[in-house]
Amino acid sequence: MTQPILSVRGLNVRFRGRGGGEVHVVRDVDFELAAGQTLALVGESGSGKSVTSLALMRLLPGEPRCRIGGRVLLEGRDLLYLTEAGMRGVRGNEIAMIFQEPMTSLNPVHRVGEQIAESVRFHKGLGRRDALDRAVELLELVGIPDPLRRAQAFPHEMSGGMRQRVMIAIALACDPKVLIADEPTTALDVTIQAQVLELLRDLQARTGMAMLFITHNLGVVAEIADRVMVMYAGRIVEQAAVDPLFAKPLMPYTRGLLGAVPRLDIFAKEKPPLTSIPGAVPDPAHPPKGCAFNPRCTHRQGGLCDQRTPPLEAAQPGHDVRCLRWREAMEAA
Amino acid sequence: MSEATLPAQPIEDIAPAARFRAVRRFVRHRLAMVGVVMILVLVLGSFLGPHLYPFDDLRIDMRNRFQVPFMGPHWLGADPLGRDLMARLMTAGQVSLAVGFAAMILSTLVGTAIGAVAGFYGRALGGALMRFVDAMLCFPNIFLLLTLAAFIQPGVWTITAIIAFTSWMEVARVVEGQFKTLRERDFAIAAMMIGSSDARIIFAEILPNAVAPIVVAATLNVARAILLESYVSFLGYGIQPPLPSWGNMLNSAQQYLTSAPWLAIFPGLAITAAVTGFNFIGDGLRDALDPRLDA
Repeated sequence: MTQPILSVRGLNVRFRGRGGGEVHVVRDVDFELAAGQTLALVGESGSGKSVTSLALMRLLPGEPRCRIGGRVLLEGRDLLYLTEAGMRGVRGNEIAMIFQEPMTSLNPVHRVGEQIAESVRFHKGLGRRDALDRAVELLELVGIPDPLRRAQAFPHEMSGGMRQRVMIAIALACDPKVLIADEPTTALDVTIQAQVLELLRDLQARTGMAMLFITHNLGVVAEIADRVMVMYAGRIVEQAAVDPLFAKPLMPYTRGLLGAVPRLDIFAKEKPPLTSIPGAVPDPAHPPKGCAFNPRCTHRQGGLCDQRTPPLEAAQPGHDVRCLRWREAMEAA
Repeated sequence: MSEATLPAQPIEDIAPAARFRAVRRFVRHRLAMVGVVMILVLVLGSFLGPHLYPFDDLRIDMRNRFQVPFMGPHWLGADPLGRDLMARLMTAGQVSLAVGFAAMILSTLVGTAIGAVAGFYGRALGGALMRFVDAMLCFPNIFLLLTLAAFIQPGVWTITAIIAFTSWMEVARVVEGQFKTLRERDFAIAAMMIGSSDARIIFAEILPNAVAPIVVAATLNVARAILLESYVSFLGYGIQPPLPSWGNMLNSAQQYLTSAPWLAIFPGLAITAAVTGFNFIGDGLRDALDPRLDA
């Protein structure tokens, strides 16, 4: 791997409840992201994906409600030690983010051109006119027809897909080095989803930005990612390049996720049944003893999985897994 | 991209439909239109009237003391000094309306500032500010007003300040509620994501979205300020004669209530008209700006 742009080491996030109890929602997360690379962060709701991304942007509440530990190095600078003013210079400028809900992420009272221009004015010190010109350029870049007119539109005059394109335009306004996309296609219908993914891939190819793609849609992962990181109960449970992960998932949780994806091969003689993972994500305040996944795991071995916490081990070069029984899974595969 | 210079007026053809709908709803609101007409008559009458009306409000005309309305040269009659009641109503209207508006502006600014800070930052600071608002609301504001007025030299500006001081709390509550919800909306978080400062998020992102309820509260505040000014002036703590206000005109009319009732009736009507007018407008705005009707 080339020199990483973003490197996260031992990231831990703890929230303090009202009663003083601590909830450990992100545990020892490590990853690296190189220019032009896309890393997908996959997991159920509540697995800590979004908290991880908010921690990178330092948008979680401050101490004492929330404690962040570890290092977040953006080209060698530790973001966790920047001043608030310094961090404002990073947000939107070097790291940008797009969200799930394009319908509500735009301010309803401002024209979209102004909203795109704002970021450029703030970070690049451009004048109003120049910033608006840049906004029109960006709208064109994200494939909005008639960008000159559209810059004058209000968000409610646009469709969901268009608004997500506007959000992407805002995110790209300052040529960020890292783009965090938090389920950017979840709220869109399938054809628009494909267009937005296509657009993101195309823009990445042009600008060479790194992408951290948070999703629970494995179809989207296969489509866009280079590497995949599966999170469960705040921990990375499996990490690998896309192909090996889809071909040979080692962690039972990953297998469960893949089994829960409906397939459309209608000509297949024997359709694999659509499985679901029983149970729900454990309460982060009271994680189960041993492996966090053991109460839901179909490969649980009593006396082992509910006693020892598995470490993250390299099963193969570039393929890490956190399971006490990955060797058996590997042999079976 | 040089051809990207923005054309001069494409704004009109992609105009925000929601704003038009709100205006249309307001215009169709019958009571609100009645209110607008009432206030227009009062404002125009008070500020333009004196230039058209032949009598001066301070000229003493001893031959026409206690002239009954419509029975002599003075249209609405004359007071114990023979001063023209109509002319005095106009001057008093200037004072009362000006105090009402000024107090509204002041109380809205203060209320918005405190509500915005409390709602945006929340937690200890917001809690402390809002408990202070609650404490202020605990005082019946007439008494607060009278206590303050008893200590402070009465005058147009001090009365305005005192009224504003006792009526900013409702605005603060409304604004705090708005900020609390809007702060959590995705567009506010998105603004943080692009590195906007708190001030920018408060003023440019959230405040424009909270304008509707602020406008409604402010309109209702004008009505209340006019009423409060009349109240303290009636009790003698407010605007001091010879400067007339609708309230102190009522005060000086007290002793002639049976012999010359018109001296009380007309200022009373003016106050009623102003207060109901502003309340009608406020209700109309509330209905017109209700975003649920846009769905």
